[in-house]
Amino acid sequence: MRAKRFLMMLLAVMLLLMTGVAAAQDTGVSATGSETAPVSTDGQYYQFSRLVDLADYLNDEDHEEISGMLMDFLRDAKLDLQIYIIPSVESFGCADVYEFAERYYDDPKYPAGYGADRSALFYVFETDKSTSELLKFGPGSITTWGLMKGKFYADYYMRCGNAYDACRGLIDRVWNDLNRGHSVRAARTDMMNEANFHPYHNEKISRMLDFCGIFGQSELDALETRLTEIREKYQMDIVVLVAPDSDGKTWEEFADDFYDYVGFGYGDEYDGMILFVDMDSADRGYTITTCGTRGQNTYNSIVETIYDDMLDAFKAGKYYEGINVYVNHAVRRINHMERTESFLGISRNEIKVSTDDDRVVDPDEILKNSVKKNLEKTIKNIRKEFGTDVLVLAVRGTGDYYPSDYLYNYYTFLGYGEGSRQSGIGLILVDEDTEKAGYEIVTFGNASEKFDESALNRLKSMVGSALGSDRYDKAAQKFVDKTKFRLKWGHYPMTTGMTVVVFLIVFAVISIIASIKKAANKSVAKAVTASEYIVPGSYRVFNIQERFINSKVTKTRRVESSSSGRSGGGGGSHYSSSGRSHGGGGGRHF
Amino acid sequence: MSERPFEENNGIEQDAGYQQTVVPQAAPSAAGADVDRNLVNLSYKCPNCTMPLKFDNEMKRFVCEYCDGSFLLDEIKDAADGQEGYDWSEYKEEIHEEILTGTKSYVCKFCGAEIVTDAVTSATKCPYCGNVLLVAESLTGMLRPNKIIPFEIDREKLLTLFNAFVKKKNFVPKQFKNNPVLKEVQGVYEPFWLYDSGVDGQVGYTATKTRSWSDASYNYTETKYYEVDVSGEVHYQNVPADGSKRLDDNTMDSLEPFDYSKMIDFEPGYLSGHLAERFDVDADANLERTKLRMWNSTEAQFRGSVQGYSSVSRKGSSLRQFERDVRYALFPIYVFAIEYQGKRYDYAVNGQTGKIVGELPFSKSMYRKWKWIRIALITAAAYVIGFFLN
Repeated sequence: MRAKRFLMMLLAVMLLLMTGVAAAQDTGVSATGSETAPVSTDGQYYQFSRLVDLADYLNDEDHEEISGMLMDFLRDAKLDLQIYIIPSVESFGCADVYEFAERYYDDPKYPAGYGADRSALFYVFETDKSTSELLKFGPGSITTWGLMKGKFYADYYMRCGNAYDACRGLIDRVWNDLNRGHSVRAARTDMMNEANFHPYHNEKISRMLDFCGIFGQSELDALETRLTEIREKYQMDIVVLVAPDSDGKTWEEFADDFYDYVGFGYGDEYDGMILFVDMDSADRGYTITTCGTRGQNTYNSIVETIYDDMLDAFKAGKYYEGINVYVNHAVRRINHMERTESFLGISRNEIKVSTDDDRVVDPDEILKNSVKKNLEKTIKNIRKEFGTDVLVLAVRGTGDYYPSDYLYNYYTFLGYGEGSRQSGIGLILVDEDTEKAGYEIVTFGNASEKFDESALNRLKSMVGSALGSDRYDKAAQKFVDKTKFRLKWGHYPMTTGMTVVVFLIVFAVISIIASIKKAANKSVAKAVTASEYIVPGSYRVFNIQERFINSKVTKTRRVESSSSGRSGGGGGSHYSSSGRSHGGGGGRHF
Repeated sequence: MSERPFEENNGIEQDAGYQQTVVPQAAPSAAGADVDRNLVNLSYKCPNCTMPLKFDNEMKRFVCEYCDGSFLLDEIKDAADGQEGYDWSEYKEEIHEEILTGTKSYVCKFCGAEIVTDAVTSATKCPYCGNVLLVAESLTGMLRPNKIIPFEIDREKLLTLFNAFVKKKNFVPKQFKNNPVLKEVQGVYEPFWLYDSGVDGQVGYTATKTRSWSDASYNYTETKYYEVDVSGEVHYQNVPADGSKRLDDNTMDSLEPFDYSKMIDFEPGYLSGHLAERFDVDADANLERTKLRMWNSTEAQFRGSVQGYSSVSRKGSSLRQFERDVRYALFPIYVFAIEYQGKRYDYAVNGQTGKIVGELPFSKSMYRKWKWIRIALITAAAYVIGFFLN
């Protein structure tokens, strides 16, 4: 028994180091158990309840149903999954959950396990502490990832007080992992309610989670160390998850849920971001989602840059290098946005522009003078009429800054903006010596209410299409014109493309109607039916015979909205199933 | 022959050029030169004064303009031959090709002129005295119709009907619309075959049922395929088919439906005032045409019984006709033509319901104007709506 105890402790340490969730090693506890205790085996199933609910989380009917499921699972999966919902292990006189599990695993009256190896899984949820462990006994074939998924879904529902879906979710995930499938029964209860989710911070768990073995141990250690340093220094939780699948969810849904349920995030808003790498061969790719105000604010506008910069490394299989690109970007972003005390040698509040100063700043003479003159005139009208400042910034380069950070700092350090909230909108045009000219638009103060997410994206799109190659004048003019139009009317004008589409639709419809009316002038037609000569009541059906031939199921990938599209960029707000708001999303296949 | 006053006033131009061949053989008499032929019947004489009777469509009685007498058909029926309708289900043994072809000559009972008609004429107009003659041998024996639907639309109403008809149509030149002149107006009883039949058998379909569901990543669609066979029967009564070669079959189809509730047993007296033809297309020649109509409708009936599927497509059918019967009937038709910019436009009118069929002239300029004005207006409206909803 001492040896077994030692193995259990060893397992616990490994869990802390690796996942903090479940015993992961196939060489884990291989209990010999009581020498005389019989266990279930082929054709012999010991009929005792695998579900112990001392907290009365389940009603009688649900208790019976889950117990039946666990017996079916024992027979079909050849694995003894037992679920314990108890106030605390201490109330059983046990020092920890491992001692508790060991005791009931070897219960002489109800021996756990299946077959000679006595394979078993124990899920123990302590209601007093709202914590759980999923412990594995015997070799079994379940993967660490399967344990991870099963546990975090079970934990989520347990914490929401929904033990029924917790048990079913656990059974499904473990079964799916054993059978390498992804079909999961829908939860009976809709838990998309933030009020039901009780977030918590899990400090123990690793932030570098590789369930596919794509990193060597030294790489894992190095990354873990770096992520820990970032968390301590910047109070931002940076997480990397590499998994073999997304459990049938979209990347961002899965990343959001995983982040919430496992307990990541720093501070009251659980600030942080997670890079989810899906190694599923049919859908291989990655996404980044964020949480908390700081996480979202510091990330959304640069998501495309990060994705692009990571792509080459991931395509080449240089995952360690790719992860470092992600981490570097994250740190760089935090530094630029929140740690900058001076910008271009200017301290905050050192200089403040006056209302008469130019709003078209073009130190490198990128824009034509005539254009700048027109822009200044229009911007002056906008400021006067709508109380919104407009800044057009054209530069040759932004140094180490992201264009959006450069614009943000330029605007805020020099004190642009109207009113107490420094409301305004800014465009930065970057004439770098690259094939693609860069640009970014940022809103400030209450301008973000006039230019919501979709409006901003559309403005970016219009400016981007005008920019093309070396057409900064046209892009700047379009930015100012469309900004004025939106501020005046609350929307953008219909595009030429839309006008043409509307015309073509109207043309087609009217042409069809005209043709029908024209055809009506020829009223001579051959009669092909005789329905009006049917003797009333004479129609009789003798027999209708139906024969089933076959069936076919087709599946198509769901089209996702632009704010969360995988192939596109991120930046949209979305919600995990806990109801918590997240940013980021999108991603790249590799 | 002088022009009738109403023809100039109501826009109907009278012309004797209907397709019948009427050849004058003797000098015309002076009798009936300006008599409205619609009100003349030379087949029946007044029982009181022996003058010609006319059939009044509105009164549904025969009237005498000379002694003001009016009579029901039964009261003057002595002149009729009193034969029953022929059993056309047995016609094949009796009809010979020669009786349907060639020409016939007759003597007008009122003016004595000899006139020649083709073999299918049942009632024709004397070109000398203008009275209508019934050709007895085309209306008796095996050529006697079983049924007739009398005219209910008067010739004078044709222009009104046509104006209402053309008013609802688009892209018709205004000049045509505003001043139509109806030429060669003829009211004629057109021969029709009426078929009765039962249709039974089986129709096979390929049908699918689909259901869709989604998970987080995929939309799924399950399609189940079935073969469905429906067997049953349906009965048809009085499916009409044109029995004349002179008028286009499709035009006659387009004049349907006729109101059979007003179809009565044939009596020659109903032909008064109108031309009439007898069939020159035998019943067999229309069998295939009517069979296809019945089968199409039968399949439509069967298809209506195949419910609960996402899609149904016909695979094949095995149908047969039974309990077939056929009758011979005369239906009232007006035909006329309108000339516009050197082109002739022919029209036919259901003499019972007033339904008009025929092609109308087409104005390209009106078509373009109608189309582009709407395109411009709707596009502008869409733009304005889009402006405020964008």
